[in-house]
Amino acid sequence: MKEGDESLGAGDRIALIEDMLAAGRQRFVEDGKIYVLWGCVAVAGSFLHWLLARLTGLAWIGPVVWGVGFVVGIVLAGLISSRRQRRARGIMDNIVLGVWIGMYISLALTMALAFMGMIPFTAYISLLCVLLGFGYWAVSQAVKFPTMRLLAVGWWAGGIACALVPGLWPVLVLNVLVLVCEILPGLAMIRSAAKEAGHAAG
Amino acid sequence: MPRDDARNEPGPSLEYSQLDELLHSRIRLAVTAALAGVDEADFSWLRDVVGASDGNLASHLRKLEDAKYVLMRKTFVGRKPVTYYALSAHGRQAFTAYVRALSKFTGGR
Repeated sequence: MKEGDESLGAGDRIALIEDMLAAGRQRFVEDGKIYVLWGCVAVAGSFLHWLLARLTGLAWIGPVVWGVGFVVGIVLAGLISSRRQRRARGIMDNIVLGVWIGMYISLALTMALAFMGMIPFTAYISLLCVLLGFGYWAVSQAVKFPTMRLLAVGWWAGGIACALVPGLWPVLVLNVLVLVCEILPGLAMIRSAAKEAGHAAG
Repeated sequence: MPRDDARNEPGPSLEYSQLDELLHSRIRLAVTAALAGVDEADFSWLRDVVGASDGNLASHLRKLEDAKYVLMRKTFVGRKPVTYYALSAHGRQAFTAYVRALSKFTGGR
């Protein structure tokens, strides 16, 4: 940008201000690492749940495994976020953070209800998918990211599927959803962020 | 359209004495407006958005800091030092006043 200060008319100055404000509003980069992390936690939790349920036959083992996985996930997500260099933090970041914090609290409460036996395990997995669908939809609306809307629909459809299949099948459905709606998009986001970082460095 | 008319308005018709001198600079105005749209931003983001060179941007940021319009925060992300900038309350007030004054020239659009 050249100086040329005096050559700018009032309209040009207003236009410049509008462009700069829009750059801040539109800027938003989701952290793909968090998506991949939660995907891995869900897959590991599912495997442990399946394994321990087979070995012990205890009904409460599922909620316990998922509860521990949830806490581990939150700690790791906090660590990843603290090490992330945000180029700019704007209103979108605050909205998305608000959505995900609300989501974590809702998931924790749902998990607590499942642990107390007030929600059957199949219903719990369904609720988890439905809540995630809501989170994805809210974020997609906020950041105008249509692909995330499709993922939200995927979570909702998965939530219905989980309610219809018996036994530990909901866990398998959940894993397919995790791969398609968490891990793969997360990897795509990491790739996109690496490209942006390369561009910024260049 | 009023917007096009305003854009085509020649510079000298602006009475610059009514505007904040510090924000009169195009780069400082761009930096202030960019920071008004975010909570905080690092140097490289500002450089990319404003389109200034590192040295030029640094000197303008220093002037805004000296006037207490902009706050600087140095931190580490991992082992890498990062400098974040944010608009202070004083800077936000000045920016709002500047936009108000400017909008008078464009018929309050």
